[in-house]
Amino acid sequence: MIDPRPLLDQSAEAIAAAVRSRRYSARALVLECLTRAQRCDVPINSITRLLKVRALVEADAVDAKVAAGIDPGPLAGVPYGVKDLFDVAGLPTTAGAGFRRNAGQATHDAVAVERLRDAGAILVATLNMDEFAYGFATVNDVWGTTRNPHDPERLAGGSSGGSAAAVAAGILPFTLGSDTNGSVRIPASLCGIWGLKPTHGTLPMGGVFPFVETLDDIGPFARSANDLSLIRTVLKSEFSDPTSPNKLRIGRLCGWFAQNVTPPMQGSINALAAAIGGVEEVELSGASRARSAAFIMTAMEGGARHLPELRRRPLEFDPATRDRLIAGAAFPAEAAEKAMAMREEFRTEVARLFDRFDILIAPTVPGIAPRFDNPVIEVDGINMPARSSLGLFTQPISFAGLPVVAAPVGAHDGMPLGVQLIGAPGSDALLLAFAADLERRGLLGLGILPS
Amino acid sequence: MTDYQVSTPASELSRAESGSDLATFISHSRAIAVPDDCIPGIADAWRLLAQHWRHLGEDEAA
Repeated sequence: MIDPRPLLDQSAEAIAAAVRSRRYSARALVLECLTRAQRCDVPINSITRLLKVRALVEADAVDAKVAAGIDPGPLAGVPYGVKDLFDVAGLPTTAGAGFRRNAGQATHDAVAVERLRDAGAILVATLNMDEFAYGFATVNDVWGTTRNPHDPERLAGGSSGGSAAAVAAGILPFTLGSDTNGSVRIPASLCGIWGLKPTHGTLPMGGVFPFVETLDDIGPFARSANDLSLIRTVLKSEFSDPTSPNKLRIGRLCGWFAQNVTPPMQGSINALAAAIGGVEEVELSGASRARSAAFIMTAMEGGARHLPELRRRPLEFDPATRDRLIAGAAFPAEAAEKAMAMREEFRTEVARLFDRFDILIAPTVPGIAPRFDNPVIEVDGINMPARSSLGLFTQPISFAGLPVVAAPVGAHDGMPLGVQLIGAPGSDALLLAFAADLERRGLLGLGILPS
Repeated sequence: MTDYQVSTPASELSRAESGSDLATFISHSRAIAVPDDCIPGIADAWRLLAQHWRHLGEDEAA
């Protein structure tokens, strides 16, 4: 069946197929993408730099390969963007900090960018983020606020908000972000697209500006589970046989993950669990302590990393970032030791759970994206700032280093709701196959969102 | 300007939590100089961290 949508609105896989078969040139696609970016990005502010010259050079290289009968790769001609913390040769890597605009230019592309280029993908833009990736809002002092494409009066989420919003707005078929405490999963869910946080340490971090190395991972955003899978295999440089998602044992996290959840989110997860069938409720003990430990490690490790710059020019930091980093840098060292020890205990607890289950389901965030005029979420009856508190359900999971697919699971008031599909360490391919199966069955994905 | 020196001893945590005078709780020699009007924000961030640290200990005891 012919897909009637414009090629740029189709999957990365379909775009690459059109370019490889010479139905469409990479140059024409990139020009269309640049025009679309200039037209559509104004109300959402997802892009920090458009890389027109570089993109056209890369596109011409792909077209030349096709003309010469050389396979340009599985992502031939597919335009994409990266969060502004990936090294891009010839540009300063700002990591969202205004004072890094004049930092030295990167001499090489990040390893992930190199691998995508080798697979034929075309880098078109760098994308907005919270300063130094420390936030869940993408409210940036210098580059401005990224707004949710479903409602510009609401948060896009963060810290990879530009990466999520660009895909949700239809500007780019896929993007890369990073996830330390939820920075891929939260904006993916608030913007209603797919996101992957891989098993910790499995995707290349070379040339990525670090935040908290014990927790940092990079991850893609896309319009489908299949695209996430394709991009992951390119990033890993590892192509394996498809994994069958049959006869999986599925658990639904309750306890901590059922508290503070809005009724629409609860309803969407109930509906998903019912449609899957045989889903057992299960508690992950220690989840709230794991979140606390992640919170502490983030502030302390981040504070220690930025200490020299905090001493040199504290007033050039975004105040919302600076104050938390200084508090972290000044916090007793015993707290970090205790948090690290707790991580080991928690991993043991998690491993026990995966003896009984293959995949766990949990909400990504409590509900729909908060409004800018009231940027809070309610936690145990208290309004907490969304910028620092949206990681309620994501922080315990990344603290254990688990792979997670974030997927659209429903909508409320025209806004997306997102779910986490969580796997055991190393089960990323299985998890993605399961997610793709649910997408095919119409239980997850962009198809269930309002247009 | 207030001088912040980094890494407060744990024994001082409960006093530091008040956030009224973080500079009192300094033990190290690495200073961060910030204007006094930044203190409330830093104190808020400190108190939130302290709550999380307490939470780690509380659950363990239980």
